Amino acid sequence: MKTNTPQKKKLFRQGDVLLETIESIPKSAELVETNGAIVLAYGEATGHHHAIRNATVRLYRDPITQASYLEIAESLALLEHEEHASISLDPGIYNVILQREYHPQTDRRVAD
Amino acid sequence: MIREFAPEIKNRMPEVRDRWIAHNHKCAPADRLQAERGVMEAYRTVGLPPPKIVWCGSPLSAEIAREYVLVFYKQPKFRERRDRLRLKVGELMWQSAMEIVRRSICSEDRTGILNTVGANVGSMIKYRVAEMVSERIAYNVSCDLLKDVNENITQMVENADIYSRLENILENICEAPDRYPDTICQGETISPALAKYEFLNLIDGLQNLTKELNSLSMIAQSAGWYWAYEKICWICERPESIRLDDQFRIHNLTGPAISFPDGWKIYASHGVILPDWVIETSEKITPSKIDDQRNSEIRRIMIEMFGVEKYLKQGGGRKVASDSYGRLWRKALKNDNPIVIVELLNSTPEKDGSLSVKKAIAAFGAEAKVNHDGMMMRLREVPDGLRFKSYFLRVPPNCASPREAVAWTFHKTEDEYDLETQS
Repeated sequence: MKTNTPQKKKLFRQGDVLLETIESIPKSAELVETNGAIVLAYGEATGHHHAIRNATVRLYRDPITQASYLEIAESLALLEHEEHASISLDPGIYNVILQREYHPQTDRRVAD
Repeated sequence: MIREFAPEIKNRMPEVRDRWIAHNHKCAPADRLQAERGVMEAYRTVGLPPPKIVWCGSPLSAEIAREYVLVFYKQPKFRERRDRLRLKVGELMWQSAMEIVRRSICSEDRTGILNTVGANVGSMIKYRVAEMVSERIAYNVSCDLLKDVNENITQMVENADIYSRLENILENICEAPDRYPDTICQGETISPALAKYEFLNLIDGLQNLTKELNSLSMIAQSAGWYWAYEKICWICERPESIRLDDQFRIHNLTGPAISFPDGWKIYASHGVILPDWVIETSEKITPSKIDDQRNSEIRRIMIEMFGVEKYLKQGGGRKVASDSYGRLWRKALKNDNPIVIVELLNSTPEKDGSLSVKKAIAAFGAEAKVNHDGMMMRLREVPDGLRFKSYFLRVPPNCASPREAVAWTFHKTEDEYDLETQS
């Protein structure tokens, strides 16, 4: 899916999840079957999730790179988390970027 | 259709809510007779014959036993996961689980095991019974009234529910994320709904509409979790002790936050699950163990317990830069690149934060951006009573500013890292 006009990339951050507006979902990404809530990141120690509960939102994932993309088709979607204020997202396409941390051998994803 | 509650009924909301929160946090041994009657009745309600009931000392030993019977026995390819699980939970828990396995199965051959268990009926019982009731209630009670009950009872019982928290802990231990709730039926995680229906049951004319829930209510009030299969029901004892903070999060800095009769102990600080040694032998926390901890929440708590200043000083750290995004610390290492750590302010205030607004301003500056009630504002603009937490992330040694460092953590350059909003 493509948006009509290219726009300046906007960044929305909730804790260790960053969403970046992009123009289109890469062709290599595949639709992920979700059951109700779309969970962008799980918290191992806290049990908290960054999640969107909105039927019009779709999650895509590149099977090779594991990069994730959100497609918000119609109304505003709310990114929710138990310990962060909710963030409302306009319809559009978003690149999902998970926070990483430096490690001398290999960078690793931030876990909470 | 009922459109309003009589005042004497509405006034009983807190009583019902508090009773169900108390059931959820109860630490007495299970009332086995009552729980078994509930199980038999639940199976009968959905047309199933009574199962064999096997009592377990904790959800962990029950879950290991269930995995053993249903997965490890049948599929040798999972041997590695089984061995990893055994190592992770320790011999005491493993032997408790094996005792449950011995009590569960009729014979050790494959057919015997399959015949012992049958299909999973937990979700069927929970949803069929609950749906029957929920449909009838929706037909008889107005939406506004149900919303009122949800806000004042259901959500509050749900917020205080410790059993749903155990789901995530079990998922992590057993390396089986995303499979709930289909394969496991948690006896007490249905308590928010049961609390709601118990309240509605007080209203004349509705009493008969919720009668199918009696069986689930009996189980929830007399035992812990249960795993319901066609021919067997594994059911758990309640915890021996539960320690919570004022927001109903499991929390104890001097011992286990939850302990079960078979020895399973969970350690936690304000809901964050910790390795047992962090609490039991906190004197063993060292800067290098903090640096080795890969979970940022656990590391934050280890730093708080050890002392932020002590951690940076003992670890040879010094502040090398600060801006409205955070503070950058550098710790020199012999014969190696320095460790560079960015300290960031969690932008959403938290009641149990260690930083007052004054301290947050001293550390991060008055211009640091935070999110208060969904609005982005500067620290100098927020009300005095708020509290914040900071956290630490390791970044590449060449990062020169906190903004560059936090941008790097999200694969961005310093210039690209310009947020519309954050929380």
